[in-house]
Amino acid sequence: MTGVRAFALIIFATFVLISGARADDKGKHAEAFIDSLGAKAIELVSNQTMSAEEKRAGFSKLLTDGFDMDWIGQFVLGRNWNLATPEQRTEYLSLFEQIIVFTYSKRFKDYSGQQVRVTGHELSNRQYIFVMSQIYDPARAGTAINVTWRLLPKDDSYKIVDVVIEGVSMGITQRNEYNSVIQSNGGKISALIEAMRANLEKLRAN
Amino acid sequence: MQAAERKKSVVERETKRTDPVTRFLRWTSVGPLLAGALMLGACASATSDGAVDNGDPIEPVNRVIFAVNDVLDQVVLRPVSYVYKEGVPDPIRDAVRNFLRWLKSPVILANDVMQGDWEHAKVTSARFVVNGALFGIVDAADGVGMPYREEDFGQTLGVHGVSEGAYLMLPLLGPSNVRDTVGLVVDYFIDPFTYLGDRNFQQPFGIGRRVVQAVDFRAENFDRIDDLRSDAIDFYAKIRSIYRQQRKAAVNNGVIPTDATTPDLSEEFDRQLPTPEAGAPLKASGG
Repeated sequence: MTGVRAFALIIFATFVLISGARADDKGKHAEAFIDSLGAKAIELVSNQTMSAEEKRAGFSKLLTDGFDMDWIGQFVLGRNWNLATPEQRTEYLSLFEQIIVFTYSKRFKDYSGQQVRVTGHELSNRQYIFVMSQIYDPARAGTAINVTWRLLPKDDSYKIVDVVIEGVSMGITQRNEYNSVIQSNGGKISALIEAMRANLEKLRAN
Repeated sequence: MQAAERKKSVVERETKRTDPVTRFLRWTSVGPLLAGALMLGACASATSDGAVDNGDPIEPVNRVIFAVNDVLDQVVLRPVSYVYKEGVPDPIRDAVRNFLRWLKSPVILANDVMQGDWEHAKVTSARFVVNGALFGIVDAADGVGMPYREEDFGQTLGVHGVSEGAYLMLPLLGPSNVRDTVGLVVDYFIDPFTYLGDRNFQQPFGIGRRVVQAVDFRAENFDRIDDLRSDAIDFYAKIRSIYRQQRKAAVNNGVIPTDATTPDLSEEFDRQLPTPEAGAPLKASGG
């Protein structure tokens, strides 16, 4: 009996060790993922030879490579996703991605040497992996901003599904805003899509 | 630690300067506010079984006040902040901000103590003493690993489990909620600088301090707020979401809850996962 118990204990201990090690690998890989994505993003925004258009195209690629845009789009729409027609879903996702590309790429000109420093990771008790980082300006002390990336494993790599800046989740903020637009228009998703079209047009114009 | 005790006694002495009757009246004026807070809090949680709980039962009223605040921002605060940002050199603006932050030290310390956060109480006291050498205009403590962190009575209530209650848009003061509005009132009364000098000094000093605070905040976040406003489809809803998240983060001192047991943003993300994982949860192994 004791032999069996000891054997079970060894199996159990090995299992815990292996899963522990695997979990740690997972976090380290996720950290490397954010590290390299940050480096690519900085390379893009600090590039002096590319035109604004080229940079926007580069950013769009970076976005689809690093982020699960369909997942985020669905999350942002919340329960309204289930109520949307297939046509609405397609148009919404396309608008959503373009709005993000235009909103952020117009800020590239404000870039002034900020760097990304990955500071650690944490695993949620669900599938999520969090990578903690700081965006800081080497030229100015005391300006570090805490940014946490929420990732999901996908295929052999990861996809970002949320960015939390100083405690404010971009996904939640967008979700709350879009939900409010739908709610104040009597629950009509078409109203949100209409507003997003106008929003994108305005972003393109300036 | 001794510094903490010393500062605490200073706070107490400052507070005791007024006579008992005045203090009683002040506290009873907070009483009805607290009762109102609990009632509104109950209203807010009663609607939480609805589809989307935005914690905002009086949204139409809030939106009207928000519209007025927005006009005031565009007509007064934004232009003034622009001139301040462009006309006043960086080092002077830094000194102004450092001084404003230094003035908050007693309130932060009192809240550290009420939260039982002795570690931060030590930092707050040390900051007050170190930076006090130059009346707070130079933040020397930040350079030696004691960065500024604000604590207020709204956060203290949050730490002790008081929920935020209904979202409120305050005239001139901006986004808040019932809990944080009570916090504003309590912080005002426990602040020794409220009682500094005579009556002819107190009011202009108090108003001036808050006006400069607003201009400093607007100037420091000038482009960020402008972008937020111009990019938003529903600016009001965006500000509400950001405010609620920021306050949650402030109560947790910036630690983002990563487990599903915490009833805030993790919950919304966990609901998004298609199927809950079967079997034992993955053990986190620190980083």
